[in-house]
Amino acid sequence: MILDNPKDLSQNFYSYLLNKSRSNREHRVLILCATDVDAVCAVKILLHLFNCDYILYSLTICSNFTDCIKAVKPVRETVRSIVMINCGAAEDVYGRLKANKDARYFILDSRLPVHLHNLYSGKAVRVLRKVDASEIPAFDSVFSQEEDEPPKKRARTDSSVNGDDDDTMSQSSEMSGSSQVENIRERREKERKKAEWEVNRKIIESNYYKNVSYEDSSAMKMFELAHLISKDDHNLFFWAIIGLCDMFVQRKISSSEFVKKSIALQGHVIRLTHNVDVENRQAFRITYGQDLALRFYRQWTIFDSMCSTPYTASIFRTWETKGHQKLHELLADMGFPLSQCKQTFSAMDYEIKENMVEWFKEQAAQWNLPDLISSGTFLASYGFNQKFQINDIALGLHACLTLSDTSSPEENVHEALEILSKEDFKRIEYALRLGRDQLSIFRNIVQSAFEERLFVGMNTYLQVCLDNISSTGNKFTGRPEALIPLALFLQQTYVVRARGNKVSKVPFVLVAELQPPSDDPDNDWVYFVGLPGHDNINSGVTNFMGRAFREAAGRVKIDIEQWSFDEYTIRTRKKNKITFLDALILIFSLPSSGAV
Amino acid sequence: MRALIGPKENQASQVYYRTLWWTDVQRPSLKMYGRRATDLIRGLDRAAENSIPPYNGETVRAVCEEIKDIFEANQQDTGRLQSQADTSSHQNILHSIHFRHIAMERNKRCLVAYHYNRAERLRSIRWNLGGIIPREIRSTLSEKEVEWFNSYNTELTNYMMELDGLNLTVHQRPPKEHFIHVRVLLDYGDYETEDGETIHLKKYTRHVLPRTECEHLIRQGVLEHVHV
Repeated sequence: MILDNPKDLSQNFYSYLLNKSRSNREHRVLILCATDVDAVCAVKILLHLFNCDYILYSLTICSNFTDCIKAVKPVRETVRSIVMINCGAAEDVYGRLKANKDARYFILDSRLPVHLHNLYSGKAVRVLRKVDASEIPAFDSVFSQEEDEPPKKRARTDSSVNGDDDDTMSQSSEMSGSSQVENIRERREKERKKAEWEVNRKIIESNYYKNVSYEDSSAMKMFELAHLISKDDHNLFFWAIIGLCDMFVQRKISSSEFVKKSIALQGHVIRLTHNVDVENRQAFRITYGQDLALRFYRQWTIFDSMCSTPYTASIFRTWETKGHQKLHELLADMGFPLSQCKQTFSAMDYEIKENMVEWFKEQAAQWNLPDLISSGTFLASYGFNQKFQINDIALGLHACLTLSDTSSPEENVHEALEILSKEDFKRIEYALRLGRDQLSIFRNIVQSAFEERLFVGMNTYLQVCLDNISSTGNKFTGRPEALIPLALFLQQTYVVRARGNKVSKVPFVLVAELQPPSDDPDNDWVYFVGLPGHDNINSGVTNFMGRAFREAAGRVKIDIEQWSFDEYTIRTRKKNKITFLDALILIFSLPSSGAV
Repeated sequence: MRALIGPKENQASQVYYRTLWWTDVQRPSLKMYGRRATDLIRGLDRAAENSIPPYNGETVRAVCEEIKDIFEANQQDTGRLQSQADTSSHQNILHSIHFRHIAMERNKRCLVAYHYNRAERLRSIRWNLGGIIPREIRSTLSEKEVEWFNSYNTELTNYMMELDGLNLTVHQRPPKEHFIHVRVLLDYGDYETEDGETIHLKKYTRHVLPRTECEHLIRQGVLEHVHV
């Protein structure tokens, strides 16, 4: 069951939970939350709504679907409602979580495609998102009709009954003989049709599940719900925008999609900020406008930020001395004093700060750097404090979620939930610092990857193998979750210069070993992250790497394991690494794989 | 003491106290009206606040007797009024009837105040100490009081059941939030709440639980209070 329009969302999701908890005080909603920024923001909004209406809940953090199964297992008999945030759309939740029959599942996931069982399991599973009806295979084409079976059986019993009667009634035996032949023919026909249908189904299913894509941030969806039931405020809006920006900075949605969605939000921006008291020291404002597309420059120096933003880093090759010189040249052209651009942003001259965007805009045109200025960015400010780019906040939160000096990823999620506490900008500054530090660690890794020539450009895909990266990046690269932003960074720095070339269109594979070599079988993993071609991401295209990985593993018969909710993130044992990579090359070189 | 009985103490009764005094002096054998009732109140007033002194059944009975006597005397006088044709002595009789009536009212008032205040104290015991009366307090109660306590207990329980088993006696003032958000700090396993719901407390999960249930778990370090 699909709940796509907001009214459905409020009636069949929120009001349903509300009525359940009003009528039964022991009704407790189990929330399963994934470990990404969008999910954290969505949970934050949902918890706010639940708190307003006294809906009881239990929240469990899950890093992958095995965690979800583990979380549901102890409460299998008692749980009545399960809300899954950014997890579960790609799995058959009803079949795999196996909660009791009365349980209702609400899946709020930005991923596509949604598992067909979830779409066709009636009221038990409710998918809270828009699903393009034309892309969903028809029910008959993917599920065999149960009605087929009974007539067949009846035909068989009929014939056997007739067979028994053969000895006594010769006349009827003739009749039954002919009908038997007919029956057999009918059966053959049916079997043939069934086999045909089976082949057809496989094709339809493989086409349907081929690509992973993202749409609609979950946090945004929750905000829409809050708006519909008139419980929205600027904090909820702030969280929703962080969710949306996270989708953008993780390149889950294309920039054009992001711009489209942000423009659609202008009404909310005006509505929620028009009566903010400007003189108030505590006033919290969200604005939308043009800004530099440099990461963390408001908390850093302009120069460092330009060295670490993947786009500028790649254009200028800032890891080389030559690149540094070129960057200096640009800044000098702009009339930017060196002392100012190596100064923390907050301490820079007011005049320069005011005119900076204009200067950069002029230079961007001259130096042909179209992506240096982002046409629309959300900015948050708190009282007279400096402004924050919400994109940076999303990156900072992501850094916080990938920290490895805490005891587990779940702890990181709780930390992130705390960071998003209402109007507490001290914590947000902490997250921004984390993001900034992570970015500089990534920059160092990229630099060493270039120096050691780790980029292996195959004809059909690009690959980087990193060994034991946890030693290079201390707490920022100790967890596999950090590999996704790292992969994005690596791909972007390599590819941006080669825009338009073939290399910018081929998919990218990051192979990484997190731990130093050891005999411990638990740490004996190699992690793979597959990204589609860089130019493809920008036009909002989808990720087929999960399927490529599966196919490669199937060919050489090695076990791979999905370590997150995304199927393009897998891991395998170290001993299988070489075989798997060979198989991957083979898969990509096949013309029929559809990879390129 | 006045607080227990209430402020109604008009001038007329003051006058009659004085008259009473005078009668007492005239006929020492006659007890002063209302003294026993006042003793009752005084006894209650002297006891520490919120403690219940032993039920003074004897005095209560004596006061009741007194009321009965006064009533009978008044009835006699009323009979006399009706039978006497001579209206000159009527005024005196009317005065004494009025006086006795006030004395009777006074006694009644004291009795009611005595019982009411005891019941109030008993009620606060129910809210503070729970549904079972401690043995030492039970011995100080009268039979009717125990009966009242039991029926009050039943009524209160029924009322709380209507509110889905909400325990009203826990908070002196309504709490701002009945449920609090907690985060589990260590693997605790299944925890059964008072209303029979089982909650699986696993590390790194977050729950909404009744405040009263969590307090001791927070003290044990199993849970941590978080804000939404």
